[in-house]
Amino acid sequence: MKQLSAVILGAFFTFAFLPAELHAHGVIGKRFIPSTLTLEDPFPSDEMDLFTFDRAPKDKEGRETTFGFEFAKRLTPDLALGVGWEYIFFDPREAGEYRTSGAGNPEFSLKYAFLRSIEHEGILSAGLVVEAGGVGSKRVAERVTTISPALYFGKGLGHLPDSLTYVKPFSMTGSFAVNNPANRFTGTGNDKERNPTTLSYGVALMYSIPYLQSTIKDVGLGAPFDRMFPVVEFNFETPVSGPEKRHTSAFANPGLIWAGRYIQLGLEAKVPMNNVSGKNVGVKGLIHVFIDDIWPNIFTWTPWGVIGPTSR
Amino acid sequence: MRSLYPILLLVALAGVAVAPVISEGHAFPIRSDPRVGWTITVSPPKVTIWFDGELEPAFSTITVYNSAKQQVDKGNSRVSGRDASTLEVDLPALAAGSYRVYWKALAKDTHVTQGDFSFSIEKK
Repeated sequence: MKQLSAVILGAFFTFAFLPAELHAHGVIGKRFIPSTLTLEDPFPSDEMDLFTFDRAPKDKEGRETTFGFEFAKRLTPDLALGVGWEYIFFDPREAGEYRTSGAGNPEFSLKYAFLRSIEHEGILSAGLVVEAGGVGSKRVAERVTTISPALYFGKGLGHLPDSLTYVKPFSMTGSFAVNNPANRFTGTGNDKERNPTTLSYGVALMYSIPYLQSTIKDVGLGAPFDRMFPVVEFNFETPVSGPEKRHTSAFANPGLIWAGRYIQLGLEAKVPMNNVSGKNVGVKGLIHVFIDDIWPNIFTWTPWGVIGPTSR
Repeated sequence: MRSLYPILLLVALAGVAVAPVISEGHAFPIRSDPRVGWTITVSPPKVTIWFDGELEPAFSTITVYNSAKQQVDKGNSRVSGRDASTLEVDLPALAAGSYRVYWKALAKDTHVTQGDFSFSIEKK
């Protein structure tokens, strides 16, 4: 058994450290795929969600608004560690209850890109996200730790035949995760709470104006439109255990992303697609920073040497 | 008020991060001559691509092929001496037809970008 573990570990590190052309952010072949606001993107990167904002639609319990932060650092060209945190405001729906707020639980993530195809503008990654339950404020944060193995993909449509030339700037990303609570129940007595296993999944479809103008046809769009990506993300969450089993929440998130050389901005509406998801429209925003481009001499260091942008 | 402190901290961090810094990043094309996907009536003397960042001359290339997949440029692909963010290659007098430009750009920080596009020449 020890030998098998050693072989698996050896194979993992061999592949992880294979010399490769440098990948960063969402570049695959001639395609750049920006980070999306709702779904996790498939690219292990040195990057930072400097500021995220999410005002959810009102649902049966009330309305949640979050301000967040996320940081990711590559350890190898294909492996990244991340940490995220949110501050949560909650407006309860029921009369007599008051608005409350507090820190959410920290989230730790690991992402590994195990398949890249430059020719097909495709990438496939596996990830693991752990929300450390009980760390955040008891008023707003979950008390249970959740462990979520996940799969992520990204795919550009540049391989389509020339008869579909104006469809080529489209790309898709998607994710699928199983959210497993570490404990079935938390709390005691009247405060006892059942923690269901849930599936979260979704797909994002975006149109790249930069791809259109640099590969298909220069239609004459100047700044700031030449760096824009109209996007719509669909995300779903389905409990697979507990009393809410199969009551899927579903959202469509149409919006716009602007990606510059060092920073990316995004704004999306959050539209509930069924009664479970709420009734009115929410909004979310993102300021995302490419930290290895801004500070290449700091954020390309790893214990195993410099990756990404090299030291000079 | 205390609940606003984390938000103020985030906003302050945002201000620091977007402050002007000296750095390098990916190099993506801004425009080209001939323009991507356009049809022109006169053979251009060269193909020029302007990027949004400086390039590493040794590993940044540009080649031009005709519809028979034969290389037609003069093989002197180079980063412009006047502007390190411009890549160019000279062309002979080209016949009417469709041409494809392939480029690869190595930014100063070693991030690689690549792409291709076509242009056409038609007789007057």
